[in-house]
Amino acid sequence: MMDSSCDRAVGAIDELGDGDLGRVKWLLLKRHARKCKECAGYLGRMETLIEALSEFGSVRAPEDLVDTVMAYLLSSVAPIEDHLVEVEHGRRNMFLVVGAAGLGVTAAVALAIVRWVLGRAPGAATDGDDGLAPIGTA
Amino acid sequence: MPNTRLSRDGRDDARLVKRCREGDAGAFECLVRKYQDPVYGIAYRMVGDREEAKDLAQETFINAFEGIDTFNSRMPFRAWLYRIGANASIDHLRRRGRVRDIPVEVAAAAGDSYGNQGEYGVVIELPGPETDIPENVSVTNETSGLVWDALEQLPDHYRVAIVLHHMEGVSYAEIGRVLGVPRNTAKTWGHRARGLLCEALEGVV
Repeated sequence: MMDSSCDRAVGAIDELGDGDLGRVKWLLLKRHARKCKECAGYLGRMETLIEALSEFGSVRAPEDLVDTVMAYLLSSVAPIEDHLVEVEHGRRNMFLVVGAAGLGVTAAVALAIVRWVLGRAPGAATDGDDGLAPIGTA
Repeated sequence: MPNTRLSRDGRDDARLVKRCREGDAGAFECLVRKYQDPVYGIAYRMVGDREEAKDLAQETFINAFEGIDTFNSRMPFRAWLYRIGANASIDHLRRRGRVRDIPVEVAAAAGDSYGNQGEYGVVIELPGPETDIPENVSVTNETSGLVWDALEQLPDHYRVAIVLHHMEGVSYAEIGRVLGVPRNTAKTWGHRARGLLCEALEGVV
């Protein structure tokens, strides 16, 4: 005959199945099960079930699983990687062009500065005079 | 950006996922190595066949890789991956017509083997025909077969809850994330599933 103490026992058995049953509740459950055949039967089945399930336990994957997965993925994403390499090459070429242009501009500016400085030197030619004597006047 | 509410393990996974999205195949390989056993284990416990389980595990990882951009990094990667794995197994069972194979070690335990070492080093000690058979051993072997038969009859979501909780040690909160339901619903499914399995043991235990 099930009563309220049986309800508590069934709840405790469910907690046992979840792995959440505390020691005090476990002792109370065992005491109840000694007096109640129905709950003792349910407890016995639950303990057997948990033991059976835990015996199945975790399994180990086949050793070649990782290699198989990665080989598949790398072969399927290779075109994407090729595209990424092309993009990378294009980007590198762009840097080279920009770099060369930068160097050219820098050189031109430096040359202009040098010319300006030389132009301001004492005895240097003024505007329209390049500092060279006319041909045949030497 | 990794979510600080995730566990340390979850944050490590989130970093690996971020690297995957940036095209780092090595990061995804780390994730495959880390989760190969549970993903394969879930598939194997669901379908009961090693070759099919291997195919399903491969399918799971490939689907995960292809869908990595859709992964929400606020969710643990593990739960997301298990969800893909569980769905792959459920779809496979539906295509196959819900007929599952009994795992080798269960068949051996319930059948006529006289004890051998399993593929994964699990020693199944069954007594020979002339040995005194202790009662509890024969009940345990019979129980294994009964439990698997009963598992086969469970609704898919109940079976996933049992496999994840009892065989892979996953909490109900995480099972809820895997199955897309609240924790309490996952817990209720676990209780109902165990109740049905216990019914199958009536008369034996």
